[in-house]
Amino acid sequence: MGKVYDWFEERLEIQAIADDITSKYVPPHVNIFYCFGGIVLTCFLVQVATGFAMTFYYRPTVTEAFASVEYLMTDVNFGWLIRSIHRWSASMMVMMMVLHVFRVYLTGGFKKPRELTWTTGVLLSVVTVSFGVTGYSLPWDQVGYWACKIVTGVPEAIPVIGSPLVELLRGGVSVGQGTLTRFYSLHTFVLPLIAAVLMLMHFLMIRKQGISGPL
Amino acid sequence: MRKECRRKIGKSFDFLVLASIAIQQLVLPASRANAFPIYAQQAYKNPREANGRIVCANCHLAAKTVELEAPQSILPDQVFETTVKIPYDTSKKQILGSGKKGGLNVGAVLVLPEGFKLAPKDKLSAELKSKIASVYITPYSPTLENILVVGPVAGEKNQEIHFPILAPNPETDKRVHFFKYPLYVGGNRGRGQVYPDGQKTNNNQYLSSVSGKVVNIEINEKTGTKVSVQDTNGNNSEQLIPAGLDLLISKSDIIRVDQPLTADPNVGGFGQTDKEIVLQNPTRIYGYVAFAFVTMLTQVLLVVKKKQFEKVQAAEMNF
Repeated sequence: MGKVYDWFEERLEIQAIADDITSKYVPPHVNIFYCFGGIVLTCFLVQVATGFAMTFYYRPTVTEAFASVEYLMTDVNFGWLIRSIHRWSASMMVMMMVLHVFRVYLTGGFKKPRELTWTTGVLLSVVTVSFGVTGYSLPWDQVGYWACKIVTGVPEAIPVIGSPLVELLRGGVSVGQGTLTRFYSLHTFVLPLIAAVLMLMHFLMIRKQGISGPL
Repeated sequence: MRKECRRKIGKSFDFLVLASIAIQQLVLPASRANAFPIYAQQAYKNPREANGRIVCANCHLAAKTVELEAPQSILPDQVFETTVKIPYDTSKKQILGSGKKGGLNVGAVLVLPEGFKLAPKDKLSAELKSKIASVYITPYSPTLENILVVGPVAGEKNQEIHFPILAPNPETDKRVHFFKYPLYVGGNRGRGQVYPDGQKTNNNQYLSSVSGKVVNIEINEKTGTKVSVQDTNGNNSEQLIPAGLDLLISKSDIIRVDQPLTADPNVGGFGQTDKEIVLQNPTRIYGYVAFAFVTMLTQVLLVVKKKQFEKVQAAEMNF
C-alpha cells in the first residue's frame, strides 16, 4: 500500500490534494438545510447510473419506444426497479433543487463574491428542468406525446423567430420521429455533457471560496 | 377441435342473445330500447374502439358524466370492488318507445385489463354479495371475459353499480405482470338516439325537412303526429313525428328548414372515463419497507456517532 502511495505521490503530489480535502472544516452555522445541494448531486448520480442501465433496453423510435419501455417494466430482471428509481429520483432531484435554491437565496449565498456560483447554479437548474421535459416524452405514451407536442409548441408565440424555433425543436413541422430522436439525443448526450461541465464549475468555485458565511 | 368448440360456444351464446331479446320483448313489449347493450355485443367484437371510444357512444349521443371508483393498488388473487357511478336527476322522466313517459334505465360496461375477471360468487364477502344482488353482471362475450356488461337495470336504485373483480396472479398467468394497468368504463342512463340499423329513435328532437307554412297538424296518439307544410310554390309536404313528443309549432306558423318541430325529449346520456390500477407484488412492498428501515437506521446511527464525536472534541478542548 505504501509503495503504491509513493508511486502516485512521486508523480501527482496526491498528498497536497488530500491535505486540501482534510483541512476544510464545516463551519458551525451550517445546518441541515445546507444538505439540499448535496442531495441534488446524489440524485444526479443515481440518474446517471439508472439512465445508463436503461439505454441497454430503450429503443428511441416512435414504433418501438413504448413497447421497449413496457418490456423493460415487465420482462427485464429488475427493470421495473431501475426505471421506477429513475422516475422517482427525477422528481426528487427537481424538488431538492428548488429547496436548494431557496436555501441559497434566503441565506444570501448568491452575494459577492459568489455571483458566478449562483449563475452556474441557475444554468444548472435550466438543464435539470430540460432533463425532465425531454425524459418525460421518451416512453412515447399518451402523456409523453402530448406533453412533447405542447412544450415544443410554446415558442410559437414568439414573433418572427417563433415558427422556425418550433421547427428546430421538433425536427419538422409536426411532432414525430425527428422530435423523439432529438429529445433522446438531448436527454442522453447533450444535457449530461453540459450538466457535467456546469457542475464542475459550480463545485470548483465552492471549493475555492468556501461555504458562505452566517447570516 | 378447439375452433369447433369455440364456434359451438359462440352459437349457444348467439342463442342466448336472441333468447334474452325475445324474453325482453315478451315481458317489456313497450321498451324495445332496453336491449341496447345486447345490440352492441352483436355488432362489435370489442366495445372499446382503437381510438379509445366506447361503442355505446355510437347510439347514446348525448354526453353525461360517469365516475369510476377503484382501489389504487391490489394484490394477486385479491377480490376487489370497483364502482361505477351514473348520477342523474331521478325526478326526470324520459320518453319510451311507445311514446309514453317513464323512468330511466342505466347500464355500464367495464373494460378490465387482460386476465382480470368477474369474481366468482363463493369468493365474495357478505357485504359485497348484498351490494350486487340487484344486478346481473355478464361478460361481454365468451372470448372477452375481462369486459363486463350490466344493464339495462332500473336507474333509480342503481345509480351506483358495483363490480366484484378477481385480480389475476402473474405466477400462474403468464400474460399478466406486476404493472400499472388501465381500467376503462362507460356508463349510460336513458334511451339512445339511434337504432343499430341507423334509424332514429323517438328520443330525438325532430327538425323540419322543408321551409314553408304549417297548414295542418294532425295529432294521433298511436301512429304519431302528421305535420303538413306548404312551401312558397304551393307544394304540400307531410312530415310524421312520433307520438309523445312536445310540439314547438302550431298551425299557420312560418317555419324554415332544420327548425325544431319538437322539444328535445332526451334527459339521459352516455359518459366514459378511465383509471389506473396497480397490480402490486407484496415482496416489493416488504423490500421497500426494509430499505426505508435500513436508511433510517443508518441516518440515526450517523447522528449518534456525530454527537459522540462532538463530546470527545469538547472534552479534548477542555484540557
